[in-house]
Amino acid sequence: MTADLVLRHLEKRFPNGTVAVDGIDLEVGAGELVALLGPSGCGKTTTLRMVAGFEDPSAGTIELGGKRIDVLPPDRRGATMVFQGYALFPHLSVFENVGYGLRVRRVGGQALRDKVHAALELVGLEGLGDRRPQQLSGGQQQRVALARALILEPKLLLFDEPLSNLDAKLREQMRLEIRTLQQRVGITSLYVTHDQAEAMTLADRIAVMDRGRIAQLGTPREIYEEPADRLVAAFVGHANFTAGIIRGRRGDTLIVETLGASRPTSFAPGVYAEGDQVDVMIRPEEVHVVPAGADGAIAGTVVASSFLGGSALYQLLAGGVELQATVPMERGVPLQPAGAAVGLRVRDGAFRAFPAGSVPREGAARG
Amino acid sequence: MIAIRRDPAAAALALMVAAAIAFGLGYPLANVLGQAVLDDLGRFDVAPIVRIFSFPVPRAVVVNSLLMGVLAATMGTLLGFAFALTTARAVRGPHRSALHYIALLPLIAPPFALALSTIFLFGRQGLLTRGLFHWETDPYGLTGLLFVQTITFFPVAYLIFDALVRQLDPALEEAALNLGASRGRILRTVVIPLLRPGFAAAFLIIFVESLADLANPLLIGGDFNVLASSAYLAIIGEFDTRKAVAYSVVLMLPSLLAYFAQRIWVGESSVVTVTGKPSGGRAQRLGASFRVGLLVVTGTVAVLVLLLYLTVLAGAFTKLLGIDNTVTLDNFKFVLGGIGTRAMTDTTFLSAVAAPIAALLGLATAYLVVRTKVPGRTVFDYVVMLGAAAPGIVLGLGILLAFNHRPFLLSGTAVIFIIAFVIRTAPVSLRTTVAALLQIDPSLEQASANLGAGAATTFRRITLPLVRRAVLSGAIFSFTRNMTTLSTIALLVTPNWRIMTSQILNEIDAQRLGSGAAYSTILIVIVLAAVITLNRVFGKAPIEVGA
Repeated sequence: MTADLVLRHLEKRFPNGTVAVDGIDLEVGAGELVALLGPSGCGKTTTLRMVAGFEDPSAGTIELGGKRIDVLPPDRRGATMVFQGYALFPHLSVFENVGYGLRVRRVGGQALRDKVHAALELVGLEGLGDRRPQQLSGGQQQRVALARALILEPKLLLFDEPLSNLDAKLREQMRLEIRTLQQRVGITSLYVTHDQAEAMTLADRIAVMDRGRIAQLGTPREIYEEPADRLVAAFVGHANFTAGIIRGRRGDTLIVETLGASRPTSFAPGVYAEGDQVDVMIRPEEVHVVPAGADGAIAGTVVASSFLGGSALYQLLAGGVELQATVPMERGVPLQPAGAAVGLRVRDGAFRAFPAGSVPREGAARG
Repeated sequence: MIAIRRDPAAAALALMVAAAIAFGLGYPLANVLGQAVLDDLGRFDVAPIVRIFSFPVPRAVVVNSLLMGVLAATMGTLLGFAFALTTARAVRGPHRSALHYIALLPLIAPPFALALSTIFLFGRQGLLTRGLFHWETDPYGLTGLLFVQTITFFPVAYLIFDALVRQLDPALEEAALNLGASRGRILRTVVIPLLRPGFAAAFLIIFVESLADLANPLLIGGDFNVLASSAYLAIIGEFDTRKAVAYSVVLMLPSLLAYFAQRIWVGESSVVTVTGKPSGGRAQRLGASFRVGLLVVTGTVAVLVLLLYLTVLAGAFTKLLGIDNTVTLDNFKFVLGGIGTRAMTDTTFLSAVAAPIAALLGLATAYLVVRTKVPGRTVFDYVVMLGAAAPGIVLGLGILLAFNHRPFLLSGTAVIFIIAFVIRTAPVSLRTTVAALLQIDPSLEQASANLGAGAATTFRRITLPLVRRAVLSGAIFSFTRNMTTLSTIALLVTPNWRIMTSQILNEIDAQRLGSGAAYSTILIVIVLAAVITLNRVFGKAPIEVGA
């Protein structure tokens, strides 16, 4: 895959001294969708706005299709954006909103009408051209914003948390629609979100950002299964952490003593030596709840349990460590009540070690 | 945040606005100040000015002015608050609308109308006082002046409180009620404290307006001389420029102090009362006895306002109201047969030419302040606002002094009036447009840039249509204010251009009260007709801005 959008050591310092983006490098391949994911204040939106030209980088360059665009004004960059609040022009009709960019480029008459109609059809809004944006539902407004950005056949499509104003159901539906449309049109995209499920569904690759830097860049699966540090682990999905001590090394796994036994453990980048303290992560779905006293099971107690429909969520206590477990539910199988003694089993490959206290816990990121 | 700083157009715009303000406002005010601190030979010397205030009469004038300003501001503020409380909490439906519009009526009154009808009703030959009750009264002096100024200026306070009361979150009052507070206690401990910025703003604005008022002190002030009227009389009666300048400078000080205190102090704190989205719930009604008391006060004033307006009409259509009540059209014949027709066309023409210019100057400044990164852009805001903060008589004096000698010899021309009107009314356009621009989410303009539009295209296609109503209302306000102002133009009139308010003053001076009333009626009709027509033609349904 050839790199289409290239950010080189991009940096943004505000006059008050805040470093919003702290020198990031990122390559987005042609037709690829990369999501910038992170908590608020991590620099993802500032990065996107620098690409769009609404913020000037303090240092670094931005290239698109082999040409530097950071030197161009925002109206010449060929990168259209879907805004967070859609930013539909309230005094213009849907048709005029979608056709705005073409009108600016002096396209008129039949050519304009054809293209606008094609764009409206693409997003499933045929026949609504005469409406005002205010007369449309949130999902429809979202589609207008999409059509308005796509009609210019841009080299790059930018998304600034486009789904954050929609309710949960519609959000899930729009995620799939955007993904389908983006792949059909085959357009290079940069997508900012703080919603990890959204990033997982939509993105070819995710860049998890933390305090102005890219903490990890990888496919959704890599990010989830092999998080590079504790923050990424905690931000993408839920992560249980427990303490462990390194007892040895076998090939590319560590042997870590945790939860009362020595266990083969994958590990995040870092320096490890025998006898070191490490933090060990276990995903909730890897914690299996079995009857108390089952062979080889870790002894635990249920602190709280709740029924979620297809699965159950347990808060458990095992050897002084709090663990969360999601367990598939079958019809008729009772939920273990609070206070019940249970056994816990975790698959050998499900442990992942991090240098102890290597990264501050989630929520420590600047606002 | 949009990167217009790459656009040299912003710098050019800043230069143009700066030049316009320097010419129309800075230069005239500099002329006033120059006369104040330089002697006849152009040397720095404040002794002549200081000497003027060593005499008892000018000192009394200063004391009178401050007394009048404080009293009028207090009464106007309280009355405005009473009206706002009544329309918000004590009446509903058609009564509410009626009271609302009656409270706004005095805003469109030409400066003499209320004073004139006060003389008709309560004067020495007053219809009510002498005619009905056979009282010997004398409205001329502080009492009559305060009465007229309170009626004239309370709508300003009403508008401020009305906006604030609407923004009060009913949930706060419900919470207080829920915690066991009585209705009176809620008013005292929740509502009034939250409106405190409104009280400060209303008081300061009315104080400034009262000091700057020229028409009422001239007409009904009698021997009670204030700074504005004294400055006027110094020029018109004594041809004493230095004296006029002395009064003007002293008049400027409290006006500007009060004005900027209001901008800096109230302007910021008033944001605190805006609690965002109303959280539902119903505003609490008032206690029964309190409500009745409130209705008596506001009802009486509302009737009085209507009565005053009807009296202008009655005065216009009778020989001499109170003495000879024969219905006649003579007053109109006299006015329209004389120079009245020319005054009508001249005033309307000048006002109409100045209005769009004022609106554009306001728009240009607002755009500079809100949407560009031109350094020192907030200074533009404050300097343009000076045009409204400076008392009209001072501005008029400055323009008189500045443009009656080279290099800008303009006295007697239309230009001089247009400058005065534009500088005087651009600030309102600036405020309405700034408010409208701040309402527009910057992402709309960014979206336009993102879709390939340059700054100029974005302005024309997105920004301008969205602030159109604000610009239009700025222009309409400018027009009405131009038509009805006296203080700004009182010193500028020459036989070349006839101004209606100045003609009214002449009629009343000559004791032709009926013609004065006829003139005032015509003026009100022109203003109302223009406002209604302009709203019909340009004012389509307002656009909801923002997501």
